[in-house]
Amino acid sequence: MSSALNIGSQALTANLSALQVIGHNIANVNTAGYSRQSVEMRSAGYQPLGGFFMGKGVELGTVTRMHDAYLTREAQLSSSVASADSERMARLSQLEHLFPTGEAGLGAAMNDLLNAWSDVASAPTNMAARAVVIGRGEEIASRLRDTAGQMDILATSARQQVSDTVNNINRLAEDIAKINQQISENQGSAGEPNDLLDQRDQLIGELSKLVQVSTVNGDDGRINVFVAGSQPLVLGSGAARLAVVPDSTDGSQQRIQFQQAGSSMDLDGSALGGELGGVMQFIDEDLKEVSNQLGRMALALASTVNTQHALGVDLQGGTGNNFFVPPADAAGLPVPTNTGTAALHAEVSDPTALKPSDYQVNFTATGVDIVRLSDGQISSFAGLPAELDGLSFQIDSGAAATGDGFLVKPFAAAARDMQMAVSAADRLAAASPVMVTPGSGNTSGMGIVSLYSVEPSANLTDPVTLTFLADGSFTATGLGPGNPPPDNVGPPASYNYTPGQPLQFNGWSLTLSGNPSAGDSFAITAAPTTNYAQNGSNATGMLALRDLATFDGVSLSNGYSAVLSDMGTRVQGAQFAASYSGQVAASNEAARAALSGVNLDEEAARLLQYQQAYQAAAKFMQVAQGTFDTLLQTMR
Amino acid sequence: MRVATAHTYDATIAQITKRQAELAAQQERISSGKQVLRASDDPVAAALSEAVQNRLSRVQTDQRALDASRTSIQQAESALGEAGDLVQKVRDLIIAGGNASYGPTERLALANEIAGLREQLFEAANRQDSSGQSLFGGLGGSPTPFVQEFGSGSNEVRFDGQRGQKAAGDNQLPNAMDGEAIWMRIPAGNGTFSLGLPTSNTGSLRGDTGQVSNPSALTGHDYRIDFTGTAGAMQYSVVDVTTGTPVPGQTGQPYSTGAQIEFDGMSFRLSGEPQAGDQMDITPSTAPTDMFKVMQDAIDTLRLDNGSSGDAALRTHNLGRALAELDAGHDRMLLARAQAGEWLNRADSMDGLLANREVDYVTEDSRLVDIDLVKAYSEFKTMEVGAQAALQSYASIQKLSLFQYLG
Repeated sequence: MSSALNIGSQALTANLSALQVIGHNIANVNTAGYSRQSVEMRSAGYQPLGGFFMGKGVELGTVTRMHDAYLTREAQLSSSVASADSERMARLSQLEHLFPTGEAGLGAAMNDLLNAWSDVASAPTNMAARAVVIGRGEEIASRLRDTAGQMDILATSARQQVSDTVNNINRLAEDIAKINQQISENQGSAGEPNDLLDQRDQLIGELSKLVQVSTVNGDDGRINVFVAGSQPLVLGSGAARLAVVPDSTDGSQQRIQFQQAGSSMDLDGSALGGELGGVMQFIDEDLKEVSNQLGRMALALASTVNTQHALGVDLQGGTGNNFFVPPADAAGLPVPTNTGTAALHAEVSDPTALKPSDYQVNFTATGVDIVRLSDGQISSFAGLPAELDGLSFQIDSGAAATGDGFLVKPFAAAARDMQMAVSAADRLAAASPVMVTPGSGNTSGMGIVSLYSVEPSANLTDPVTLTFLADGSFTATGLGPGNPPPDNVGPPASYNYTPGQPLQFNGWSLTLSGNPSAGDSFAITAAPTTNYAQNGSNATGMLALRDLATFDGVSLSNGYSAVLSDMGTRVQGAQFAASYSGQVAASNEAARAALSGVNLDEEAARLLQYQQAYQAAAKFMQVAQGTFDTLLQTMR
Repeated sequence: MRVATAHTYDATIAQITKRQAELAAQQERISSGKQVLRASDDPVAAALSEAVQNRLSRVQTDQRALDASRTSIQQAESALGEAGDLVQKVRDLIIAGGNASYGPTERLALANEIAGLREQLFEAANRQDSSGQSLFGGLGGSPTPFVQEFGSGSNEVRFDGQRGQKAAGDNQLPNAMDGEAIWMRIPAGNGTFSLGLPTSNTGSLRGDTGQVSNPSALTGHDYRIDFTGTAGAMQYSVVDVTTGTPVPGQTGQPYSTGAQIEFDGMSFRLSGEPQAGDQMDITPSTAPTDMFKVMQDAIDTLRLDNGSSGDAALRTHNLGRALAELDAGHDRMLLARAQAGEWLNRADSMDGLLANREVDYVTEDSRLVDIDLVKAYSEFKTMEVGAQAALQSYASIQKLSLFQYLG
């Protein structure tokens, strides 16, 4: 009799517990990281009774959480990749806004500057046209400065994000270590501390979003967390920390360091994964490369325009000064472990051969290795000065020891420092210092297309006479040293002529058209030092810069479209990556949620199930009590 | 498969957000009319469009330069037309100056009139375009390429520009013409030699401009013809002044008016009645003369009044020579004007060409980055329907809950 009451009360307790767990599930339906729990009922066993085995009812087995370590792990890993990609994409699309297309773009501003010389070439006397050139020059210079400045702002905010993220990582690592401690203290009892486990999984999930981690189960239910492959961020109940430190060579950059018990170790930022890895990749790769492209554009524009401008003559009769303020030479940043005393710099020697990259200069036992950092290509030289990619690397002072290294960033400051140097319209060197006079006996078959100087030469204004021979080739007298040898040995030695093709001697370029007759001659002499106002030949030289192959073979005027397509491809790639890894993360999360998440309909059904079981148990109690009462009345 | 309630909501919200973002992006494309708003929308199209726009702005620049050249050449052409009228007037005046009935006063009036026309021609040759560039300066040089030089009794004109003519390119034209070739290179006399009369002549001897009868026999020497004898029985002898020897076969020849004289490849006709001691000088034309000097010579001739009996013959001779040189000069001006006209024609065709090219580039750019509105709008509609379906299904699914059926 008492065993029947016992069975009833046990059933009541067990079903009430089940209802409690269901309530807990319903209450936590929206709790992030919560894994639904379920009760396991089990038979309370039996007692032998006169050859029979009588069941003793039900008892509560255990409360388990519905959880799959592998699914959780997958979800954490993929969310790590997804947040790295989406963070990088968000940053890149901010960067892309700095490179608009069409008329708002830098390319249009650059072409406006070069095209503005056309009006000066048409009317060298027109001061308004000259003023427009200066205005356009200021426009492109300020646009380049502004773009570089905006990129600096982006870099600053990204660096701020890096240090905030690192702080968050350290906080989460400490929290995980604490929970590890609590879990190990609760270890050993029959059930598992489900909610603590959920909380720890949730923290590791949050950490995974910030930085990619791997976990290994340790003693007493503790979990060890590793970053960057094998650095123990959380070991049992102790946490190490990450720190942001300035780069030892280039103080403007920052490095992520793993610090533990007094020792520290540099980590490769862009390989860290998670938000931190995404931002570090943006800073260390994307921003650096795009900034180098922009810097190269600025540097090549400033150098080529300055060179051509210096070949002309202004209205005052003076040789052209710099059009843009010449970019400062890039100083080599010494590696802290250097033992030598050398200081070095790089300057532009050929603006048409520049590559958008930083360089590492390493002094070896046999000479100097210069590493192009964009693709890692190494070029070896016997010593400095050395020429590479249009740059000349030179030692300023001191001597380098073997093993010394320097980081050279030739394009870092070029766009930021872009400034106009010419400010007065009459200082614009539109005139050419050389002029051509056709011989008085020339037949009218030939015309002069253009004459302007193309490179500095000591013999620029030496009188030169070109005289055509009957076979259409021409002889040249008065040429200085360094000119190409005649095409035909002769005698007389002569050069071949193609109508419309420039003839380049002594630093000038003369283009003639039409068919020559024997005896036609052209005399090239210094232009008269008066009346530069009627001479717009150097403006024609400026216009020719538009087609100068400057950026890996792309013309100066199309330079921006190369930057633009690189930028676009970069962002598009990041978009694809973010969209793909986002989908993977979503489907992994869906798989995890399918197992661990709470479904209210399911809980409602279970609620009914256990409610009815509870009601049935209560009815059974009633019946047991009724039989007991009946018995007592009989005895009365 | 189990469906976690909270995750359903999260997933649905993410779906709806995504749909709305797509709608907003498509709306942005439709309202801006551009398929490629940022480089990442289509990096290849963006880069190509950038290059096309560069070419477009290059074409527009070329067109501006062409317009500037065309304006200059139009002005040069009209200046040449004006100069042609001036020369025509001068020609009429020189012919009038030959009128034997005119006295010194009439001739002086004619001379002054030619002097005025010469000034006007000078002004036309020094004309500048609207931006102050000289139209006839050749390759450059001075803003006033033609400069009067006063001194040693004669006022000559110096060319201060740069000789030479810019060639017309594929899509550009010169801004200035070579004034030196137009006005400063007129062959003196007949281009090979010229006949001159000293002012000391007393007879009415005069000559024509002569011609070359045998180019291979030309010597390039100076010659003098001396007349001796009495009226009606005049004789002439030709002396090679350069060598100081008489020309063979030309000594003591009888002279009659209208005599055709020929030696050393030169042939000319003399007329009038010379007096004994009169002379005729024959000089080779080594340097070309210029339009201004020709006119100045005519002015000087008309003003000539030595009181000598040879004046009339000298005037007739010099005016005849001036007329010949003026005509040669006029030919050169007509040539230049024809050249300017040809350039203007070419400017029109280049203009059309550049305009076509501009349209091509605009079309190409549009093809690269502009949106197909019909397609874009139908896509927008599809997206809209999708977004609506997402919202509606969300609304109806969230009504489904077992708890609603539990009393």
